[in-house]
Parts: sequence; structure tokens; C-alpha cells
Amino acid sequence: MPEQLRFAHVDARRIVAKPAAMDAVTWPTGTIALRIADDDVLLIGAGTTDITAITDITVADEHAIISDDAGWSGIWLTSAQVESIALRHIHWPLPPQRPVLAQGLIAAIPSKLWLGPDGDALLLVATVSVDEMQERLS
Amino acid sequence: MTDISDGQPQVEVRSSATPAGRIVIDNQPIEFFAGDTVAIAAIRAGQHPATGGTLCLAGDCGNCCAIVDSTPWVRTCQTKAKPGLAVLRQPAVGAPALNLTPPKSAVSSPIAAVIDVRHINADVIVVGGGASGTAAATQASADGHTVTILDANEGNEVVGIYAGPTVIVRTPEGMRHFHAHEVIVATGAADLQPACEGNLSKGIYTAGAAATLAETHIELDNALTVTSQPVRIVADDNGWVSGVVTADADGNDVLSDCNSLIVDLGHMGRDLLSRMTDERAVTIVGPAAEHYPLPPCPTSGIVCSCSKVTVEDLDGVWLRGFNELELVKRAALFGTGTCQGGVCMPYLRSFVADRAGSVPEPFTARPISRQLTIGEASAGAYADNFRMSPLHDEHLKLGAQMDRFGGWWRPWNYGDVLGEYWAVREAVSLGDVSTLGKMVVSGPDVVEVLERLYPNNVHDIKVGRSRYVLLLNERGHLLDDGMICRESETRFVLTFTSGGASFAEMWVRDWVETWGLDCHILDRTTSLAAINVTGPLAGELLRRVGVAEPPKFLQHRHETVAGVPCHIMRLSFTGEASFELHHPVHRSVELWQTLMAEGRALGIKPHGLQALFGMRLEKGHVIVGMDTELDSSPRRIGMEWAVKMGKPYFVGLEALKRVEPLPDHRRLFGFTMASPAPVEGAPIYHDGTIVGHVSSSFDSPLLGKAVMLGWIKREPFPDTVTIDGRTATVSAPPFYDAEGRRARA
Repeated sequence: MPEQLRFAHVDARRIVAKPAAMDAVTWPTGTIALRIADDDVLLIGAGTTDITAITDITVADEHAIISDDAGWSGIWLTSAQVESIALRHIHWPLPPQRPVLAQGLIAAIPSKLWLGPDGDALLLVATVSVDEMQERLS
Repeated sequence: MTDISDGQPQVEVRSSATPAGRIVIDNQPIEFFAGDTVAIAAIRAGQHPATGGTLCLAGDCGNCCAIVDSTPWVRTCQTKAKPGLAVLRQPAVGAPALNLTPPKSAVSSPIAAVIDVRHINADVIVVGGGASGTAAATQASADGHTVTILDANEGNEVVGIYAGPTVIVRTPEGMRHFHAHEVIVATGAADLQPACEGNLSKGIYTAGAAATLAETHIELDNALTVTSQPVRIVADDNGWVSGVVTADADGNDVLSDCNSLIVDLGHMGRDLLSRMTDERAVTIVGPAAEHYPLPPCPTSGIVCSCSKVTVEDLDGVWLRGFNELELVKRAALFGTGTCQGGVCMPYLRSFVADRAGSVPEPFTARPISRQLTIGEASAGAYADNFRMSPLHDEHLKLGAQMDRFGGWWRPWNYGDVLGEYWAVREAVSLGDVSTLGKMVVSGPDVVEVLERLYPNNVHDIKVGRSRYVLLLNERGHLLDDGMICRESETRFVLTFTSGGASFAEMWVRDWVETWGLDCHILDRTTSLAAINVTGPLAGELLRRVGVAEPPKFLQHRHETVAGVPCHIMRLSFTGEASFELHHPVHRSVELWQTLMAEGRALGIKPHGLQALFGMRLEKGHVIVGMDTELDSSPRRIGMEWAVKMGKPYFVGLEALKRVEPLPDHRRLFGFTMASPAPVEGAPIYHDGTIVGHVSSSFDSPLLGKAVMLGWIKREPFPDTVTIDGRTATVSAPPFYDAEGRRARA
């Protein structure tokens, strides 16, 4: 990838609850709910939405864990950038449907790639690995 | 054109075409024609592309390998000639000299600084573009598959098939890793090469090679074709063929003069790639799959031309008892050269069949099938990713020497280990413990989960309190240690060591699912940073940044510290009052800087791992993985107090019960001796015999002597031992503040 990619801190909320309770949640408008497991959602803001200002997340599970999650950095990629990253650094097939969350190693670093409906994508990586990721992708 | 550069007329070119350029072989320029490979160009010029040996011109053998543009072991028969290409012949015996030219970057290939690599998901891969490959591709395509044909003659050299199946291909554009649903190997058949005296001479061609030469308008001079194994091949003083001895119908030797020898001995399946895998998704078709009759057992000469293994060598290892094909291979290094047994295998099978009386199956082929440069082999591989704490840059600003530990970059020291030590012991210090594993568990069954996971009692931990715990595996051996902090009746925060954190989530989740208990799990290791404020003035520093009443020993609570939301845990690993401040990763720098600024008047210094390891050793705290071994039980490390054997169940309980009545011959002990401290790993002697080793050692500034932990693995356990030639006393830790007053202060 010729250009230097610059990741930025991503504010997020993390919700861990029973899968059935997760299924029933209507996520606030202006957010993207990344279902990283049946019982686990990483909620991020779309566009200008400040996810930290959203406090009215209700999940029908009294033992649900709902907390801020400040451990992510991300970058929006164009479809062309996704293509070049996919070819060079992803060893697994990207799912064909859109939108979709793909998870796996990218450049040998655990990553999440949210492929949006319009072809753009959000690449998320733990902030503790973001410097290494930037170096490997650039 | 006839070239006699090597003293022997070998070829005649019947073409009116004009040369396309010149390449350089051993500093001698030679012309080539459009479409020529390096080997063809060399032959056209009356030369052998290497130092000798039968040429197949099909990429099977290694007899044409040379150093091409600084890359050794290049098959010149598959390398297109192009103007200016520099070719050096490799030595006839041994490997080419290492190219010690500094690489342009991290890869070692002298050709390209970075080898491009692509991972391609494919449906059906057909290896080989000949008749059988084309037929297989056509059929697969008709069956609705998307087919990719990889043909070495088109520059796509398949060098290995791995599990998956994954097909590794060297192309002119770089390496390509195809992840396929199905692989069809259609590599055809190879010509058998002669195995007799003189077979490394120049001027010997297989029948296939001779046909290739004819297609390129090269007519071999005074060529003779033999269809049975020669008795021997005769060469002149320059190493060129001058005749061949064959056996007549009566078994008598017959010498025939010739300047070129064409050997037409039959074929063998080109099955090297298919022998790399037994996956169902890999099939072999066409001539490659056929069973060809084995040649007669060789009687003399070199059988494996890559490794220069002779019949005498094979007999030698056979007589020494290596009486299986795989054993002969390993003992004689047969088939371990550049062709990987691709050419010589029939002769080895024939040899073993003759000696053993039954025909052995071919040996498994190991990828790769031919030499790659280190750059090509490592293309697409990444070094381990060592994570960086959010305070990484802060450490660098403070002059930290960073090192890799437990999967993270961590400050080893800040250039003043002693100053760091005394800051902890006498004032206040900050340590970056962001690397600790951190996990939230919540649910109606959470107490039951933790009671089963940990050997301590959990149910009696009060809300707002915490407890040190061991984590054992089913064998009762130590996996990790950490803290349990109770946040509510049904919610806890668990901590794990830095090295154990990545494993911890899998371990806990696996057990929860195995038991079918209702408990949510959230790993927060990389979401939360943590700073350890430690030292006798640690509480004072916290008060100065807004914590009116710092938690007491083993208490924990959520509170804002210097404007940053923190989970404060009061514990101690250094032996002094310590407060771990767990906080959001993106607020870590501001918290660190505020603490450093406010602590300046208190004599604050950050401390690195080097000082920390020493201080915890003064307290006798073990570091899992450093002081413990894979089979360390709580008893062996002197931590039975952390195990409640009366509990109805916990992971590892049954194993501990079984070994409890048995004597144990291994224990972790504390030792003290006069400084200097011996190196970690130093052997421990008793009565002149090694009885163990030192796992941790430290010259204690406070105690004025060396303190150590170490294993003694022989009973009776002695009171004194010898380490580094000096007497050391077995001494139960902790060596410092045994009552723990300072940690609780």
C-alpha cells in the first residue's frame, strides 16, 4: 500500500449479554453495532455520532456487561484500499455480502473489518497494536 | 553457427534467425535467440549450462542449475534468456558461496528488496498445462468450477502444496499462495536419467531434451541414442562425452564413439507435488499418476546427481543397517538435493527392492520442491506482533530501555535501576502494568464459575474486596496467578499476568461453556491501561490527585483520579503500598503525566521491570513461567496456603488429591548468599552434584546480599548449597518485610 495509513482512536461501547437479549435490541440511530460474537456487540458511532453520549442502551439481561471500550483504533478505507489490503495482507476470503463484519488476522494482527453497504470499510484494531499495523500496511 | 569455445564441437544451428541479444556466462558473452532459455543458449553456444550432468531441459533435475543474477540454484532450463543476464556456474561439488551483499531491506533476496506476495482464494487449481492438465481443466470447467491453470512453462512454478490445500507458486511477479478447494496435479512424466559411471559428463541429453533441442533448431553433433542403461559413459579430458559403453545381447561391453549421447530409458511419473500431501482435495491425473516400471538396480556411478550419492554410498548405509527407503535416504542424504528425489527416486526404489526383495513406496516429499530465496520463502510472513502500551512514548521520553516481555514492549529500566529501586522503597514510583490481563465476569452463576476455576474460596470475598489467586490446570499445575476483585454479588473483575492474559479468556470461556453455567465474560486487557503507584508515599500521591481516602490493602473501588475514571486496586507486588489504577487506554498519558508532575515533590521516579523483578524477589513472589515450570504444583512452589483442598471441586483438585500423599522430589526454595548474585539459570550444587538451578536472582541493595529463588530436584533437601562456587543458604522467603507491614501501611 503506497500511502501512509493513519488510524484514529475510536470511541465505543461494549455490550455483552445473552444472545436472545442482543437479538431483541434496537440499536440507537447513528450507530453501527458490530456483532463480534453472539453475546458480544461493539457499538460505534456512525458519522458524527458521539457514542459516549449515548447512555440509553437497554438490554433485557440483568447481568449484561455494558461498558465504554476505549481500546480501539480505526480507519475508514475506500473500496480500492480494501481491495489492495485484502490482496496483500488478508489470507482468508472476504465475505461477499454487504454490510458485514469480517474478523480475522490482517497483516497477522487480530482485526475487525466492517464492510459497509457502499463499499467503504472500517478497519479496527486494538490500539495497543495500531503502530505495528500502520507500519505493516504502509 | 558452430561454437567450439569449450574445445569440442557439440551443436549445429540450422536457423537463419538473428540473435536477440547476449547473456554472460562465467564472464563470457554468448548470443541467444528469441525464446531461448539460458540453458538452450548455452547449449547453442556449445557449452553446458552448469558443470556437467544429463540435461532434461524440463525442470526436473538440478543438472542445469546456476547462479543467475546473483541468485543460486536457478534452473537455467526454465529461465528465459534476456540481454545482460549474468550467469555463473556453481561448483560441481558443494554449495555456491553465500552472497553476503547486504540486503536492501529485511529480506535477503539480492534481486528484489521486497518480494510481492498475494493470497488468492481459488476454486480448482490445475498444476500443469500439458495434455492431461488441459483435459482436467476442461472437465472441471464443464462441471461448473472456476479453474486456474498453473504451468511452469508459463512462469508459474508450483513449489509446494501444503495442508488446506494451499499451493505455493513462484511467478515473475512474486509469490502467490493459492488457497484452493481442489488441486489437480497434472505434471506429466519425466525422463529417466542414466545411473552409471560417467553420467556427470557434458553432452548427455534425455530423449525429451533432445526433442526440445530439435524444436529450437539445434542439431547435436555426432549424437548417439541408447535405449538401455549404459554400462558407462566415456568422456574426454574436457569432460565432454566421447563414447558410451553398452552391453550387447551376450553381456559383452561394446564401446561406441559419439560426441553427444541421447538416453531414452523410459519415464517416471512427475509426482513430487502429489507426494507432498495426502489430502482428499488433491488428486493426480494423467502420466503423473501412472505406475512406470522401475529401472534395473544401478550397479555403479552416481545415482543421485544433486547430492552426488553413488551406488557405493547406498551399499555403505545398507550394510550399516539402514534397510528401509526412508532410512537410506536420511543416512545417505539421497534425494535431499535440489530435485528432492524427483529424478532419482526410481533408482533408489530399485536399489532397495533389489536388496530387500520387495518394492518400497516412494518417500513423502516435503515442500518446497526446489530452492527459493529467503525473500521468496518469507514473503508474506510477519514477525511476532509485540503490543505497545499507551505509555510507550512516555517511557521513551524518560529514557527507557524497552524490551519484549510477555508479548509486549515494556520498559526494562530508565537508566537508573538503583534510583528506581529506592524510589519504590523510600518514596513513590510509577510502573506501567497496562499489560496485565483484565476480565469482567458477570452472571447468576459467576460465583460457582469462579469457585470451580480457582483453588481459593471465592464466595466469601466481600464486595469491594479482592483476593490473590492461583489458576491451575486439570493436572494441578500452575497456569497463572492474579487477583479476584468483587464488584457486586454477581460481578467480578479478574486479573491475570501479562504473559497469561491472552490464554486466560480462552481458558475461562472454555470452562464456562463446558460447565454450561450462566456467566458473561468480557476481556478488557487491551481496553484498559493500568499504572501501579507504589511506595511508602503512594497514598500521599493519590491524595494529591484527588483521592481523599485511598483504599486499604486488598480493597478496590471505582473513583476518578486526576480527572480520569479509574478502578483502583490496592495490593502489592513490590512489597510496598501499591495502588493499581486501571483506566481507559486513551486517558493513560494524561494520567501518567499528572501523576509524574504531582509526584515530583515526593521524589517520584518510574520503575522498569528490572527493578520490579528484584523487588518482588525480595518479597519472594514468584513470576509464573520464570520461577515456575510446566509441572509446578502449589506444593512445589510453597504456595499450598493458596489452595483450599476442602472445597468440593476446582480445576486440578483431583490431581492434587492423588499426589498429596506422595513424596515430592522437587521444590522451589529461597536462597541467600553474599553478593554478587549469580546469573539466573546458574546450576545449584550439593556435595559436588548438580541438584537444581537458580530461577531468579537479585543483589538486594536493602539487604546487602544476594537473594534468589531456585529449584532443588533431589532429596533430602539440603540447608546449604553451592552456587557459582560459593555457599548459599536455603532461606524461606520473603526476605524483606516478612510481616507485610509495608504493603498494608
